[in-house]
Amino acid sequence: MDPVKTECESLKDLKAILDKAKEWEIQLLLIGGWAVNAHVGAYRYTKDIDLVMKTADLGSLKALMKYRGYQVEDRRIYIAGQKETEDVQLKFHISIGDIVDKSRGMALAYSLDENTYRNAPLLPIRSYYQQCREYELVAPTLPINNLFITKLLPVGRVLDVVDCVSLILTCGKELDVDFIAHQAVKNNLADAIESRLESIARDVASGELERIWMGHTGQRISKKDRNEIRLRFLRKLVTRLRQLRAP
Amino acid sequence: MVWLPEWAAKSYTKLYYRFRDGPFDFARAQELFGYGKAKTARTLQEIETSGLLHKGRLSTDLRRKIYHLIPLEQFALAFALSQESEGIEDKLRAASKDFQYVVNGAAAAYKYHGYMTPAKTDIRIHKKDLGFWIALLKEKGIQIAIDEILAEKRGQVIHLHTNLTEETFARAIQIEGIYYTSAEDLVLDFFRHPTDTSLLDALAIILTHTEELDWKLLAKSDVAQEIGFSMEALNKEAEKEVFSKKLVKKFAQRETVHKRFSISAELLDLPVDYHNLAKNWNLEVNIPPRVFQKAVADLVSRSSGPS
Repeated sequence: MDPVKTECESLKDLKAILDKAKEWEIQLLLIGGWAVNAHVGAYRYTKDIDLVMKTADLGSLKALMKYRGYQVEDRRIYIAGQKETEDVQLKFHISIGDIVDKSRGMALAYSLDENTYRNAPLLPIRSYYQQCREYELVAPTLPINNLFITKLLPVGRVLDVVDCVSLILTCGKELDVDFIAHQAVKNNLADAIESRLESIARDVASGELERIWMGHTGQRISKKDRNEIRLRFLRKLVTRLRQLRAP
Repeated sequence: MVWLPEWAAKSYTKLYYRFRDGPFDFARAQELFGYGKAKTARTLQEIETSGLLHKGRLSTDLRRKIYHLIPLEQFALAFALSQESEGIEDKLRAASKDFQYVVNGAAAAYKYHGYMTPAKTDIRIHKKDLGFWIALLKEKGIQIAIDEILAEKRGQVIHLHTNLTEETFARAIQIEGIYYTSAEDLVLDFFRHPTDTSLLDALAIILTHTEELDWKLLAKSDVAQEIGFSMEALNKEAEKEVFSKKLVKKFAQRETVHKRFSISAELLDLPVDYHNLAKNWNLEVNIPPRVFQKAVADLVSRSSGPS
């Protein structure tokens, strides 16, 4: 597999799919690691591209992916599109309606409403390799508050913790505690999110977060930043969640 | 990189005469200059902007900020190379003729598997060349971390490790003019120090480079059990022979000792079949199956073997 070619082809195909989707009036949003990268510059993310679409567009989207030469597999909660050439393999995962996480042994679903699609920012998608600069594009991306919720759903992956922390540190002011808490309660995700927030807070307090962060990024995480994450942000969000759930 | 103005050059020579490339702190610089705090800070800033000074922390006391001067000869070489190169890759390519280094860690892994982008660029260098590398690589937006002294600010991080050995360099692979740690050395290193992501990097390399890897070398290594177990776990998750029985068998030929293969301090609740598989390899395993499942989902082609 040629990494440079893979990245260039991924960017080219993403643009082609988004352009065609717009023409066919299918709304698609970038989610996952590529979305974190678009918002704050993710530290590590895989080459596979994650998107979300409305359930009503399923048929058209499958047709679009096939039209672009992808083998399409319907896996009920998402469709997987795969295209292979001699030295490049491209994969898209497109969530259908809800963004579903199964890392806790049960399905947690986060539904996006019409406003999310309407308010999605168009963000620049940067390439890692210089040779792929010409294929950089702008893509409709899951808004930062919704993205933060999706990053709190999976458990056990260090990368998600790094993503959450980088979202807090880089865009802390844009993260709306009230909105996140309301969305969590509305989607029956409050318990899952609260336990995740508590686990991250424990990692901050024990120094585990610092170890993870340093290992990944080669950067120190200052005491001020640790306090910002734990005391200002996580505690505020947990408090708001509890207030909303109180009878 | 820019040449120093004469007034700052005089201060540089004063500092160099006194400290050479050894560490000094702000107070000692101020004492030597005989300036006030503001003028000392401005002078040090000017020298740093030129690329002749590196700011870091004392490894024995991370609260203390220290400075190191870059020797003029190393600065001149870096200045010459940076004139004809743009960007990190270009600079590394230019340095390949005269300096030994290897790109290591996640950045090297990405060059092989093209699967998961690296968060930083780890480069192993000789300690004697440290000044040259700092001067060459430092530019706007780039943070330099050195050994255990990490970057202070967020941005693109280049992590210099002053532990390059002749043996490692001899096994390095030159790809497009840049030296990378060999794929085999990376796999061994990732298996020796497994984390959530380094294990995924290792799995991605063995899945994407099945044809090219020196399997004999891997099978003779001290982590042959861990690699053998992982190959079987990938076969199990893919529900097909991603790695042939014959290849996996090579890893079982080495005498084994009972070992723990874990990426978590917390004891994970794993399926029984994982424990049974681990027993065959004389391992006590504590790796969540999702690591293997993710590698299979993303990197194993549905039609044939690994992509």
